[in-house]
Amino acid sequence: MHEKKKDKKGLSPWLAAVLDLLLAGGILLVFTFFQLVLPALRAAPVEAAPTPAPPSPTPEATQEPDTRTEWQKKFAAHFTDEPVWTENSYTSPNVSIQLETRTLGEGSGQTVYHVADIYVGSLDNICTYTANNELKYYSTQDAMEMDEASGALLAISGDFYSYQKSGFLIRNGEVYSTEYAYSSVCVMFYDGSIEVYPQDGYDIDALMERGIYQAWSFGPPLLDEEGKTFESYNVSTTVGYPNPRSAIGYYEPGHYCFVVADGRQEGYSKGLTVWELAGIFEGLGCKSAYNLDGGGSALMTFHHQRYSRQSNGADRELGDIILIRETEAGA
Amino acid sequence: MKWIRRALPHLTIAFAIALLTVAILNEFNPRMGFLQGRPALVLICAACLCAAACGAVLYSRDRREK
Repeated sequence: MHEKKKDKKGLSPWLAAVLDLLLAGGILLVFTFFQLVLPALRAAPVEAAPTPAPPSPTPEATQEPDTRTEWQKKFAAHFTDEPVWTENSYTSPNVSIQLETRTLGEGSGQTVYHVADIYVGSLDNICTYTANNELKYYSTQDAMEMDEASGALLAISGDFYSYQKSGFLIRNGEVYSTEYAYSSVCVMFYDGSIEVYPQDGYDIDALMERGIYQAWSFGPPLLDEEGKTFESYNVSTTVGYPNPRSAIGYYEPGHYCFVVADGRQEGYSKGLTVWELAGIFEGLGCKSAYNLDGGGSALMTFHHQRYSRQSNGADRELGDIILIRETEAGA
Repeated sequence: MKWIRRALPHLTIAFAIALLTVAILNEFNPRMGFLQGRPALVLICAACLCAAACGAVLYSRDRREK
């Protein structure tokens, strides 16, 4: 009787559950293949990307030598005639970097973060470098290799553009994607100014007409139009928790700052919430600031050494970095 | 037809588990865009179709039993 019943019912519930899980695993494998593997195999190199934006649509940007002179004159007090390295600074005729490591909180709740105050003589001194020097989906490279290859004096992790299929993403004037994704953006124009926009607060075509040097897509924007923290931030719960952070701040054309917070390292540094990070930028007096890819990616390098402590044992490859470098004129 | 009716609940469970996994991964790393693009759309549609078919089969069986 019992056997008859079992035959009628077919598989035992446990076996059925295992088979269901295996089936789900199979579906996930197929999904992974079409979602991640196939696009990576098909991904076109840089030349297949849409035509890059014209480099200088504004009258100011077309006269690069004038701009360079302007910034060098304006920030002359920060530059030196010869390159000078110290443990926490670098100055030259074209670049000034002052690094400072600070702590927020005390004891087990403390967070260590690094602030880089940056003056540059020309826009060429601040740029981005993408993994393997290509604009390609899923392309990653060891952070220190990127640091070496780009000739960075100072670098921080970017927005991991290569793990993003869509969004407003431009690197050194080259377009990776102008397909709208529901994401905030940070835009650097050819006059050196930086503007940040919330998810629904920008028109890609209108921005493209102004000519864009860099467009990062991660967020959220950290400061409002008056340079104050927002009352609330549109972030998922996991992103809002204390985490290692990487962010860029803007004072005026030619004057920027990078902030990288160490985190997820018990007894050394907990990490920052988005609110705490925004508070730091407000305290620094930045006009605007933008959160970049943090977590295991958050990293600052200086003089080809790791300046911050990456949380995952420094083994995560990155998609891109933002860096300060010497140009031939300033070297 | 009978084997379809027997396989439908299992397919529905499997699609549901797969979809939940993708949704959780997307929550932890939204920048990867797991729920964007055609594969995600196909997965969602397949899960919905299976669920709808499963529901229809259950409903008709329930009516017959009554």
